[in-house]
Amino acid sequence: MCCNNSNKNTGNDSSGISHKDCMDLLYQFLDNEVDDKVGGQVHEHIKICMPCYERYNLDKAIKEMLKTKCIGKQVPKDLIQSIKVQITPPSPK
Amino acid sequence: MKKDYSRKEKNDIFEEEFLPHIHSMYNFAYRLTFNEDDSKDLVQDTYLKAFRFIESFEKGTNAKAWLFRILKNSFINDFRKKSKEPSKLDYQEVETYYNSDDVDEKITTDLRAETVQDMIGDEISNALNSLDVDFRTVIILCDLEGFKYDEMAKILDVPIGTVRSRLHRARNLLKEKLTEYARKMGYS
Repeated sequence: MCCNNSNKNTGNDSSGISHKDCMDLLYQFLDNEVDDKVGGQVHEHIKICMPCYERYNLDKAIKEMLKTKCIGKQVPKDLIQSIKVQITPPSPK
Repeated sequence: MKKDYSRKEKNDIFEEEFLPHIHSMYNFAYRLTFNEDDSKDLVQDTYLKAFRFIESFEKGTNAKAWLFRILKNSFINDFRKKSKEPSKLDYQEVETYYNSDDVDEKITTDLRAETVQDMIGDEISNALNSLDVDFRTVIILCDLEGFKYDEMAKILDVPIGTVRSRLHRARNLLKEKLTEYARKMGYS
């Protein structure tokens, strides 16, 4: 376990990344905003570090809940029509 | 560079590239204004501006990011001034506070993924709505709409480093709110 050794926060473990760096990068990893090398290191670190594993799962759950629960507002039926009417030039008389 | 589109091309771009994003645009507007009439006005205003300035849009590029940028600017210029949202100064104070390293240590760690998954949705929605508009916006753009950091930087007119740090603080704040809800509901 990464967090049982003396390099708990700043030293790299077998994953090639420190606990602190992994914690700092978890959001970017979740958003697929790290390169393949760093992504691989974070992925390996999560497997052997319970605090990082738990935080990653929590962040992932929140992200998924946001996506499924917060975008259900229906567009008013007349909105598209109202926009279209306003961009249509008046027909010549 | 400005494009010289024919009337038909303009209509085609509008129909095929702009209108398909109206659901995302309306949801974004509603999360910003919390008011259906204001959301309608904001979305309508955004689409009319998009059509008026369609020559500055390059066909086949990222229409969604372009539209979101217009909507965000319309919100700041036309709505935010009139609303009771905190001023920029208030926001900067909040961001400075939440950029201190100490705060990360204070973020509660007793919230669990299972607890969040058990929430019915209102808690998540209310927690999101309770955030300052600038923090709320980055979560909407990233987590609800799936924009990449470089796209968010363009939409918000800020450096990518600011997107990263603002999103970091926003999510920590959201977790604090969710932890409060979990405690009140007796989850933890």
